[in-house]
Amino acid sequence: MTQIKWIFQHLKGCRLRYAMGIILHNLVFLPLMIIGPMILSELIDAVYANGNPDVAVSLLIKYLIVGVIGAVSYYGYALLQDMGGAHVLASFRGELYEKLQSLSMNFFGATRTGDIMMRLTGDLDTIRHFTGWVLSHFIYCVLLFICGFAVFFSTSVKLTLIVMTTLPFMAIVVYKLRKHSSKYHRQWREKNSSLNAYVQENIAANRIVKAFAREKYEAGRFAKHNEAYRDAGIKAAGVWAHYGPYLAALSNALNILILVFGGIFVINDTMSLADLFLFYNLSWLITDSVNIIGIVINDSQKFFSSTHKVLQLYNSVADIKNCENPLVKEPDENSGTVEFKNVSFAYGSHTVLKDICLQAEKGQTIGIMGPTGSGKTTLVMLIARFLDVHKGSVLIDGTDVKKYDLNCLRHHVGYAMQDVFLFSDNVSSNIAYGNASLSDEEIKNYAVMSDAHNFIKRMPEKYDTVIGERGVGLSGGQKQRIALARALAYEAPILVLDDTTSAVDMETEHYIQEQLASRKNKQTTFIVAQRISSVKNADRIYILQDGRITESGTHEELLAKKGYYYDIFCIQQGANSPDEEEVDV
Amino acid sequence: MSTKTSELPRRNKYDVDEILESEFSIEHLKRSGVYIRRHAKSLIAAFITSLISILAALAIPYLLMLITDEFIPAKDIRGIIITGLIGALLTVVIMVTSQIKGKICIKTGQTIVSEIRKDLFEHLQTLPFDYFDSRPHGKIMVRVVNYVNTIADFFANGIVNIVIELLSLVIIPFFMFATDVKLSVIILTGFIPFFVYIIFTKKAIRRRARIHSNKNSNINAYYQESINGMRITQSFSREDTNLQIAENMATDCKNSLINARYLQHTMSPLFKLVSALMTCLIYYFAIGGTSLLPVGVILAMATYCKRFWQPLINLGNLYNQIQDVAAYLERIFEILDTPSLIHDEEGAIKLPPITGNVEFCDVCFEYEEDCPILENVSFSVNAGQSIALVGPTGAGKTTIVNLLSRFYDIKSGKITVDGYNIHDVTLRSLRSQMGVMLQDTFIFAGTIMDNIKYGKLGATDEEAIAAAKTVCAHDFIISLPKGYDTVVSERGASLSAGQRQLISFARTLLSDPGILILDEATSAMDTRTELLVQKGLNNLLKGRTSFIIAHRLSTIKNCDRIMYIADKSILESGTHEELLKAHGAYYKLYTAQLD
Repeated sequence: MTQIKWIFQHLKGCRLRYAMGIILHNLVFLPLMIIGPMILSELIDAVYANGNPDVAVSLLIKYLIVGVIGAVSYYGYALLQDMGGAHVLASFRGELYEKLQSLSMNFFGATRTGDIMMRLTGDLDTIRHFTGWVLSHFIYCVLLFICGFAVFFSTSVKLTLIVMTTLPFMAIVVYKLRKHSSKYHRQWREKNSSLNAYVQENIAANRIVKAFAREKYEAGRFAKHNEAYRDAGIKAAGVWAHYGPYLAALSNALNILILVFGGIFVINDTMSLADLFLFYNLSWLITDSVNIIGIVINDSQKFFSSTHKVLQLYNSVADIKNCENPLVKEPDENSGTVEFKNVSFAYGSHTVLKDICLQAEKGQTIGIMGPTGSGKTTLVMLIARFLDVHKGSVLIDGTDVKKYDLNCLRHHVGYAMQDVFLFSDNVSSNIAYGNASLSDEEIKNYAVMSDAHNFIKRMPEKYDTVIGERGVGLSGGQKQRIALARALAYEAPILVLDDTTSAVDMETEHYIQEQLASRKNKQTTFIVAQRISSVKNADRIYILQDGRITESGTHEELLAKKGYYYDIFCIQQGANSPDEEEVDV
Repeated sequence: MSTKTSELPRRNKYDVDEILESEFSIEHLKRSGVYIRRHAKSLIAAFITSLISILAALAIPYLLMLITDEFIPAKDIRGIIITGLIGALLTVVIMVTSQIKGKICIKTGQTIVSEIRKDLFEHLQTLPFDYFDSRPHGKIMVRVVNYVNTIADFFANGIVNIVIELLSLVIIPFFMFATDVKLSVIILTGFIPFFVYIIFTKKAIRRRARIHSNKNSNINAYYQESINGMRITQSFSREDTNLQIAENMATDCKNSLINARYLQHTMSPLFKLVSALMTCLIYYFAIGGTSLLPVGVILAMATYCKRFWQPLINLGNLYNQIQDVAAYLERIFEILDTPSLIHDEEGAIKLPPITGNVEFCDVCFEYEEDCPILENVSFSVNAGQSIALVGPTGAGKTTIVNLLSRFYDIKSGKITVDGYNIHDVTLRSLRSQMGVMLQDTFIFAGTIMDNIKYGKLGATDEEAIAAAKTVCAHDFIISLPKGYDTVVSERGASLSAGQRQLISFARTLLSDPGILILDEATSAMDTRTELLVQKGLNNLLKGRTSFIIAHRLSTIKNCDRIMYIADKSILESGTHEELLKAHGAYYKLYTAQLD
């Protein structure tokens, strides 16, 4: 029932039309379906039994009017119901999209894209079908059934009781249908979801597949998913193929019972022939109802297994969200100080950061270096709460980031992430992603600043060139520069550059650094890098090893310490190993 | 990737409908005939069982009529019971045959779509990079999974039902004319509105169905991209804008569906209307004529009229379904029709195990016509040499190594490996001997062990671990809670970029390639790890040809030869020392780094 209530909520804005649809279907179309044949039997009675052909024309006109209203009401019902279904679909889509946007990285790390997509496509479509067809037909069946038995009981209680002997069998079939349908549809859905996830991954990995010439292997893996899905599909659809004919057979049996026992009653004079005909002529009320209820039950099971999955997504808890009474404070010209106070962080049992203390004054540049996997990216992700600290706190402008309104907080920090993601949109929209109000001139300025302008202007449609998802089609360095322009265009007081220049050459990096340094409103900048050249001009450089800060200071101070930084410096200067103490310039 | 700076192919965005040039044609349906024919036996079996159940079903009203018209007036209880038993028997026959028919149809339908999906997927594997680069992945997904699902029911039931309905359309008039010719003619005139309707709505219905499928495809593409780019969206606080876009797209989709339904739903009421009109006409002519027709004839004709319209209505619905299916088939076949561009040439031979001599002779290459990326590039590499490619971003370094694996075909010139033109050998034999470490590392959802073993199918754990040790990935892997069995998520989200590179490096090594290509393979690693990796590699590289692209010059200065790529060709070439002495572009690059 909660699911039905849920649908009702999402019909908001379309409830009246939807209700009209159900009314047209059940209170207009359905009675007309019963009235039409009655008019015709009245006509036959009048003409043949009573020899009164004059009423024929008026009765036929009546019949035609019933036909016209019936057709119109059918059209109205079908359309209004579909509108309801489409409305619910659109409303769910919007709501789930909003939900997705509120979920944190934990969720996206743990849930495969193909699985989320399954919920947004197949499952929602099942809900649409349920709203637009199943619900009204459920009412339709119940009404047919009630009408049928009302007529039966009022005509002959005895015959009705005999007819009712089929009901337990129907109940058993419906019960079994429901049970199996539910089980097999769940399985089918799961197989569909894993096929989705597999194909999605394969498309994303198309380069790797080709590079390793693994097309045949992938075809084999695909075949497994495809066949599992096929077999599950055969089972799921087979449920109806198996039980549907049982229901049809019971309908037939019902008709046979009516005529056999009715016939005997007529012969024994315990029932009139007219009553038997009435019974027989209206038996379709019951048989149709039974046949449709089978479909309704079957489709409902699909609906329940889909809503279960959609609800799961719907009820996913965003683990990073606003606190009560969050601080709504947009950045101003004084914003930009960042402080880490004894920060610790762990992924599950795997500790990544321990006791990090770090301070950045407004306008300062902070360099962060350290071995692969030492927690550099995790550290900068804590600033705008892509992850939450486990111990300690991160402060921006003296206030704990957890106290900020999330949107405001993220207005404070512009990221150029290590794993560059661009949208399949044109270059200027990608640069203006965080700041849609930019003029073309401003967009160009940011592109110049990140040294992207030079290659963009050589593209066929310049800034209007559409680039692909994940920015494929561009070289690594080109992607990084567009991502950098996007981060700069955001104009946040804090800028985080996570390995942003690893794929650009030295000259370009040097140029970009100059551009950054010469900005009027200098941003507080965090630079995560592997190259000494990227961080050596920083106001302070932190060395992260095994989740702890092991060294910090300026370039000169760190060199004097002859620690990790010095080693790296020596290696990058050209010596193969610092032990050899030779720097061949 | 790489260097399509001067010309990018026409791309598709999430909110741009894909244009299909081809008009609706029966061709798409005919083409699916290839799949249908394979299952002709099953479909015929389904048809026969279906026919039996229909004939049995026709007999039941006749039996019941016997009861009312013969046995009740004759007060023949025994006759009634026997007829009832025969009826019960027929009911069982109907039930069993329709169960068989249903199961055959479902199995056939699901098998046909799984075959279509298989062909689609296998063809997809042969499509060039460009195909994947030029449209949102969501749009490809929708075709391979969702559209194929949509057509399943057509193949399961639609085909058999069309035949059955068409057959009824032939049989029923036969009975009709046997009963009364005049009334039959009246009923047959009902065909006229049916045809008129189809002729007038055909195009519009199809167009609307197509618009809806476009909108659906767009929104799926947008969702998929949104999910993959969620971190960016959140970091730029773009949620509201994106929600607006998503809601607009959902509304578009909704409106396009309703728009299509406006027309599609006219069919059934129209037929109901015509059917009612025909019924009126039958009664009118039967009663209003000079002589009254017997009541039995009227009832029979009215029943036939209904029976005659039912297949028409069913065919009408099937027609709508066919329109939808054709729109989807069009999309599906469009993928199958996309040329692979790069495929084995006729008579391609298997490249024998290579020693690693590589030669480029006057190689010219362009992604788009008249926008050359490389012009007359020539160089030769002896087996076992290590070659570094340097130069400005976007100069064509990645392009050169991509050409070597034949990810793209060159415009003119020749590339040979051990003297074999790579154009004349099978792609599989060529690529399986190249170890390419791509700029974008890709980690599959699964265990770390599985990811490494992707490089060599059937590799033992020991081999995989040995490869991981060589690239110094072993230490970090065993420090993870479950070591090699640690499950990483899609795109390796739980690993750092450097760790992903290490795993993908181990994967490449395990494939034991004759030629190793490292495209920014170590860019995200810290300098020490990189150094260790290099030391491990040095042993491995002995005897193997390798191409290395890197921006950190410390990575490449020990290579046998360094080529500076710029301006569509090789600007400088030589050892580190030679190039430094030459005081050219490389020298500038090198000193900038030391600066």
